[in-house]
This record gives sequence, structure tokens and C-alpha cells, in this order.
Amino acid sequence: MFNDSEGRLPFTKKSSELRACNTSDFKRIYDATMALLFKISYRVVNDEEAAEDLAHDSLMKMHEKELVFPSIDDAKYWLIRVVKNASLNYAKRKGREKKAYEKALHEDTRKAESGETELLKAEAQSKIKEALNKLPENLKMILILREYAELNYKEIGRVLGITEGNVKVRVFRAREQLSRIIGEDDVYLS
Amino acid sequence: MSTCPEFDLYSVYLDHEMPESLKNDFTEHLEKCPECSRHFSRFKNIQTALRSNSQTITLSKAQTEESFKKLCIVMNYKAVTKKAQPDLLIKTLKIVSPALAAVMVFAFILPLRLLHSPDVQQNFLTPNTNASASLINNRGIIVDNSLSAVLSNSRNFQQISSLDFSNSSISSIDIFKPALSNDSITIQIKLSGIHDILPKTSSGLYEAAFAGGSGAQF
Repeated sequence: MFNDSEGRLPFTKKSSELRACNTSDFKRIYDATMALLFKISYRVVNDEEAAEDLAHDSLMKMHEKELVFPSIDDAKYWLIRVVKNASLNYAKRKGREKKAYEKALHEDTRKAESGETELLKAEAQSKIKEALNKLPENLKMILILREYAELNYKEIGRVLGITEGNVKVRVFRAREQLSRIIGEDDVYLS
Repeated sequence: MSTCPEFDLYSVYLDHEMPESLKNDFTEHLEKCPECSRHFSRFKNIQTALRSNSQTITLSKAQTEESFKKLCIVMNYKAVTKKAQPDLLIKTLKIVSPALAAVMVFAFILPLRLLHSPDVQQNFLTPNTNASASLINNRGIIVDNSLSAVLSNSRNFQQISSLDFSNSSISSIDIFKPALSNDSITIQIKLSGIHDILPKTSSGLYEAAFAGGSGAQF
């Protein structure tokens, strides 16, 4: 057996440590994060294929860099940060094109056929989605991380590199602005 | 109403980020105060709407597996294909050749352009195939091709015969010997065909005096 410079066996690692270049670790990270990454990316870019590609890109980047994470959560935060930035860049590049994609989604068409309450809910959802897109980038992102990725303040702070206090303020501002955009007249939301 | 908490606390309460000690007080207040309760329910509705929207964006187990296969294919493709590295010689040439060109420009072309009068230089560097004679700033004549061809044209001859040599400067035509220290200098130039138009002297040479003691013989 060959030992490396630090005298450790080359393939030994701490039990909780995750290596991106290790196949089983990579699969573990993939299973734990793919759905989440897809969701975050999708909410930003509004395109299934692009969201999947962006999530894949972040995972590939992690693999290429041969990163080592102390825990699965650390891997998750790193990946969310990468996919968030990539998605925002993608959305900026696509600009107005994304609106056309949004119309072609099944999530809207499926709900149109259900009952009245469901219809109201669907309307409320599309309304809130539109309102979310109108928010400034930093506030929109913080709400996506809070409500879609369901991260707590501490986790959001770690992903965005800001303090918990700052997260608290931003979440509040985002909700307030969103509420203002939706308007007082919305029966279901207000 | 003065006891109502700050609005940002609704958000903190909603996210279950409020310390336990404040939580009970806040819940009690919400039950009593209709204004705060209205504000809070608005925030709560927004959260519900966003969360239920979030539920619609899902990847099923099968989709996730399918997606993983796709990812593996892309990663394998990337692992076996690499951007071709260009040959070392070509790479070096690509870097060196522009530098060499720049050195040539600085070493040969720029000194010529900077040190000498542009009028004269232009005539030497770009020879004219047509026979012609021209006056350069009243300092001298540049004659291309054979003189007889030039002088056969009467208009050209008239122009040349009326030239004023008083302000001529010898340095304007001397490119290769810029440092002339003597006051007086003699230049002998043989011109074929000059005898066709000017009366012959016994020596066969024509003299002209330049200002500043310089002299020229033809």
C-alpha cells in the first residue's frame, strides 16, 4: 500500500466526509440534492430542460473540482449557491423569452380543469408567481430559498453569504413587497 | 395599538424563527388584535400560495433516475473528450511572430521615417515608373527615369528652367550621410541626355552654386 505525504492511506476518509469524485458519494449527493436544485433553478428560469441542465452543470462542476464536503448539507449549500448564480445568469440572458415558456407549462393547464376552489387556488398561484417575478433579484431569491427550498434563516445565510439578521430583514421585505404587488383586492390571498 | 409588535416579527413568527420566550406573547397578541391578525394572515396566505406552487415543481423518482443517466452520459463524454492542444511549435510561432513583426517595425521602418524628410524619402522608396521631374519645396529637383524623356516635354522644361536654388539645402537629399561638417561640398552628378537641351561647355560639366557655400556640378 502506498501512503500519501501525510501518511494516510490514499483511499481512507472520514466517515462523514463526502468526496465529489467518489462515485457512491456523488450518487448520494445527487439523490439528496437533485430535486431541490431543479426546483430552485426551475423557479428562476421557468424552463424544465434548462433547469435540469443547470442542476447538472452544478453537479458536474462539483465533480470536476473534486470537492470534499464535511457533510451532505455543506454539499447542498455549495450546489444551491452555484445553481442559483447560474440560473440567474441564464434568466438574465433569456430575458423576456421566459414568459413564452411559462405559458407552455403543464402545471397551469392541468389545474384549469379542476373544481372552482381549485381554480381559485390556481389563479392565486399564477398571480403569486407573476408577483414573485416582479420582485428585485435579491428578494426573489431569498423567498425562493425560503419557500421553495424550505431552508431556514441560518441555511439561507450560509448559501448567500449573509448574516441571519440580514436574511430576516430581506424575507420580511420580500413578503411585504409581494403583498403590495398582489394588491389588497385579492380575496383568496388577502 | 401602541403595544403592537414591529411588522417584521410576523415574518419571523411565520418562519418559526422566533425565540420561545416571545412566541407565546406574540400568539396571544395576534388573537386579541384584529389589525395584526389581518397583517399576519396576509403573510401566511402568501406563504401558503408559494408553498403550494412549490409542490407542483417536482421530479419523480423515475425522472430523477433518468436525469442521472443523462448526467452520467454527459460526464463520461467530457471525461473521454478533451479540447485538442495545438502543436508546441505552432503555439510558439503564434506568440513570437507578432513580436518579431513589431521589432522589425521599430528597428527598420520607424528610424527611416523619423530621421528624414518625408518628401524625399517617399520619392526614393516608391520609384515612379513614369518619367517626371518635380520641384521639392524649392530645394531641389527629383528626376525619375531618363532626363531626356522629361525634357522632351516643353512644359516640364519651362518649370525646371525657372527653379530657384537659393534656399536649397543639401541635407534634404542626403540620406546616408546626415553629418556634413564642411561648409563647402561638391557633388558631381552625371546626367545622360543633358547635352541635348543645354549648350555644351569645354569640360562637359555645368555648375550651379548653392547658398551657404555648397556647390554642385553637372
